Amino acid sequence: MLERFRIIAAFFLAMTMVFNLQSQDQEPKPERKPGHYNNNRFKQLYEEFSTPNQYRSASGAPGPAYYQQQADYKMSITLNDALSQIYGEETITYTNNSPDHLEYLWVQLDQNKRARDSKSPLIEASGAFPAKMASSFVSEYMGEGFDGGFKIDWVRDEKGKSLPHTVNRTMMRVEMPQALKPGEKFVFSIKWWYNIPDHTIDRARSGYEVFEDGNKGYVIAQFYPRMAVYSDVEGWQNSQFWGRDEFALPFGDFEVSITVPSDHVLDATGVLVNRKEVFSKEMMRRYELAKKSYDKPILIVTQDEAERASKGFATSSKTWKFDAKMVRDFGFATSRRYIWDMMAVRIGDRDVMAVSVYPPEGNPLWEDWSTRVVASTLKSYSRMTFDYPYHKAISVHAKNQGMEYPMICWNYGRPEKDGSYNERTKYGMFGVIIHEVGHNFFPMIINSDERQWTWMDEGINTFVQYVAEQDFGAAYPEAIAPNETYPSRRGPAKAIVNYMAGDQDQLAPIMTKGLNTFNFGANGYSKPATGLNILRKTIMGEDLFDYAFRTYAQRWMFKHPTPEDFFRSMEDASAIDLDWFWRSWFYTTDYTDIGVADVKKYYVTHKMNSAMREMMQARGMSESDLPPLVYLVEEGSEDFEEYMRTQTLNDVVTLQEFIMDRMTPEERAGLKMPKYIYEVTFEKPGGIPMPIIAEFTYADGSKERITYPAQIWRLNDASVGKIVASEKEIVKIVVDPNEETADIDTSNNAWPAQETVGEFQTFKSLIKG
Amino acid sequence: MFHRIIIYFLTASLTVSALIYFSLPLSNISDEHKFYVSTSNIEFNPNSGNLEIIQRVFIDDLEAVLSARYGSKIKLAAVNEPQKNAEFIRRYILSQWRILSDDQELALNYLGDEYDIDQIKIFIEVPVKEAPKVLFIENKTLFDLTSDQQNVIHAKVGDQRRSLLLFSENPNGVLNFK
Repeated sequence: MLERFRIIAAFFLAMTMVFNLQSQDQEPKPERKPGHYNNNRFKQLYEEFSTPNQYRSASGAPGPAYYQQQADYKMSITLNDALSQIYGEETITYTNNSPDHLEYLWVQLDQNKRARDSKSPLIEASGAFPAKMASSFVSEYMGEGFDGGFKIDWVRDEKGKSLPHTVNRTMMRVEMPQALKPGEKFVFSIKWWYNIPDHTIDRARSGYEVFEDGNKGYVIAQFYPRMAVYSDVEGWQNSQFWGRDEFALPFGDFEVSITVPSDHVLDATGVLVNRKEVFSKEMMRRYELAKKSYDKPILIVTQDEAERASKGFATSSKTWKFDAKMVRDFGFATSRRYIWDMMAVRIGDRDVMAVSVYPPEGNPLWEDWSTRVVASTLKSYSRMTFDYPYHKAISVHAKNQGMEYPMICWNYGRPEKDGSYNERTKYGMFGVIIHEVGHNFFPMIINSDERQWTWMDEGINTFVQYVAEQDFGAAYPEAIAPNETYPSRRGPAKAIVNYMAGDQDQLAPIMTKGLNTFNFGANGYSKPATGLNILRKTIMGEDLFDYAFRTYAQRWMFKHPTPEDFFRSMEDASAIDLDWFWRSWFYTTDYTDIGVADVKKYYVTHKMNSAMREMMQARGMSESDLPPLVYLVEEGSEDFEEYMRTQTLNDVVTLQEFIMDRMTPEERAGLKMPKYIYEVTFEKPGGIPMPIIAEFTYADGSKERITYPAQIWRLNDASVGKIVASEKEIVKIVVDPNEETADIDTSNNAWPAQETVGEFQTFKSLIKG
Repeated sequence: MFHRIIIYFLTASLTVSALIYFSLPLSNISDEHKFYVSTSNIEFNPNSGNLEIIQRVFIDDLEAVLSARYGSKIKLAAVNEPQKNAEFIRRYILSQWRILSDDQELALNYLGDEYDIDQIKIFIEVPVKEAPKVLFIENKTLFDLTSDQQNVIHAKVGDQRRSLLLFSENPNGVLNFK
């Protein structure tokens, strides 16, 4: 039987070759095309990826020689509320775990972005303006500008001897007496101060806000000279801080004491080690209650107490002491006008405190929701990555802010003065808290280099934010009513279409330094988040994706991953080659556009069709020379005859004979009887080779979905044909029916071409009623 | 009353304009903070012979600009939204668009708008009868608020797609269709 098949196959091969030769003879000889490199969209990323080595394995895991530096800080900080100045003395113990000798250390002076000689404003293009606030005009063109840079009093070694140092804008090079050898530590101290900016005026990441009663709320971060990262990939990451691309910071242990007016409350990164000194007895009592409250927050400082404190202005001070282990940064918030609440949330086998700090201006929204959102977020992120390892997570309310630090973050979402708020304020607040608390995982613990790769923290975090938002909506339906699911802005594939369909001159690949991208939000946040969502929902499936994603998170917990470590881990733990996806979604500005170009309907018959007849004549053969064959006849073609419509496979004599001769009754009973054969041609005007998700609707109304993996495009990037054999007549084919691939043009997605009722017509009919 | 209006005006304009003119724009955008972009999709509908425009604008930007222009504190998408807001929006948006085809200024028919979380979607219909060959498009929405504003125009006539990126120094452009 096999032998017989071979003969037939050889015959067809010969026929095809003859046919091809003939057609070539008839046409003029085409001009020979030049050769080319491998431009296949499924080519592996060997050229884009760095070569795996002892530090970073090909699997995406840290290699056997992986190292990271450590910077431990002891700091004594004083806040002058009246002058809005902050003073600090810090001792840094820097451990060189690298195999390299370091001749000097680089320290980051981020506040110099606000120095009078800052170059940040100089790189922004500017044009004439129709109108401008007088105050802005004065500060920009008439005054010297706010003096917000670091004042470095001294830099000294352990023995108090002055160390040579050079400030290059937001970076300071500290020179050591001799090179720091592998395994050695270097201890040095810096004394500094600076003027704290009003963050509501110049939109700083850190600063104070003045409330109507004159009190200030301080949210203080990147406030001390911080060690830069030295690593196997960048050497020193001393790319300047221009204001947009965030931070790269080594891990370390912090001991920090902060002195503020005695009527202030304060919370910060780390464990409050002198709680009994700074808490009243009543606050201690409430704190003990909060540690056992898993369903609702307990107020540590009430609104009434905060408002009473707001009427005073203490001249005495109080010192709050914090210890933090394995953090990459330190931030704190303080004011006499803060309300403070907490609740416990069970994460794995431990209790974590979900905490909120907010002025009365945030109520009633903040007392109702902030701490609950924090708790829900910790649960979702822990499920997606690893159990949250710190003991608390704080959400601080600061006007217009949305900024993250280890264990603490600043968030917007302010009601009107009368306490009312609209949906936008509410969802803005939910979204920003989820996002900023989520940053505890990316990049505070999975410590990627934000200065270089915005997407590694913002994009990945925005992806998990989407998952956490959906979880929060499910856990608190009353918070999102009348919506049934949380209305996430970023995550669903459809939401990125407008961006990806945009003008190519205004797009940059995700793998671009944030400073150099055009539409930072879409590029660094939405597009990577959407890409991961597409991987999870459509390409890999939740099980394979989630396992690989957790693998990446756990491999790089408390370490410094690079983009390749992420890409490689996702493939390594799932056995799915995703190079084509990384290439198109992360390394290019390509977009998805897949459609149905053509559908042809065929009937199976034993009657020879004209194509075959022509070939036979050309070769001088007759039908008797042929083995039994079945033929396809296209509906409407010259060979088509009406009776074929009603014919079944049982009527195809050659086929029937073959089956009767070769198969047992049992085998015959198991055969499918496709009546219709369709040749569907899919087209791909877009660059991204997404899977083809095809939904077939049959004449009886039933539907079936077939997903052809993306690799169907590997040999033909523009269009591909597929035979679909069906027992029922197909009346409709839709590609990507649930709009899950970010297809930028859905007008070619249906056969027969469908009159899509667009958003515009829907609205129009709505208003006409 | 007057006092409060001024305070609000200052705050609203400060947050926005300070961002742009005073210092580096968009410095604390570590969250999913907004960006100064509006997107308009313009599509020719051969059945109706109209250009159909859907413009998406961030509500808080629109609020700030309406408050500045019409001299009162305007809060959009509030629970009991006053009727006059709709008129302010219509008036403002229509004054920012100009569309010409074959040197003929086209009449814009403002159908309405709807809120979508933090954005407002504006629906405008422009009768043109047949598929336009050349479109001159000007859209200055929010340029009076911040020079950082970018208005992205995506136009589609038949299978042809054209885009424009408009900003304050370049508030208009010409699209050619075959």
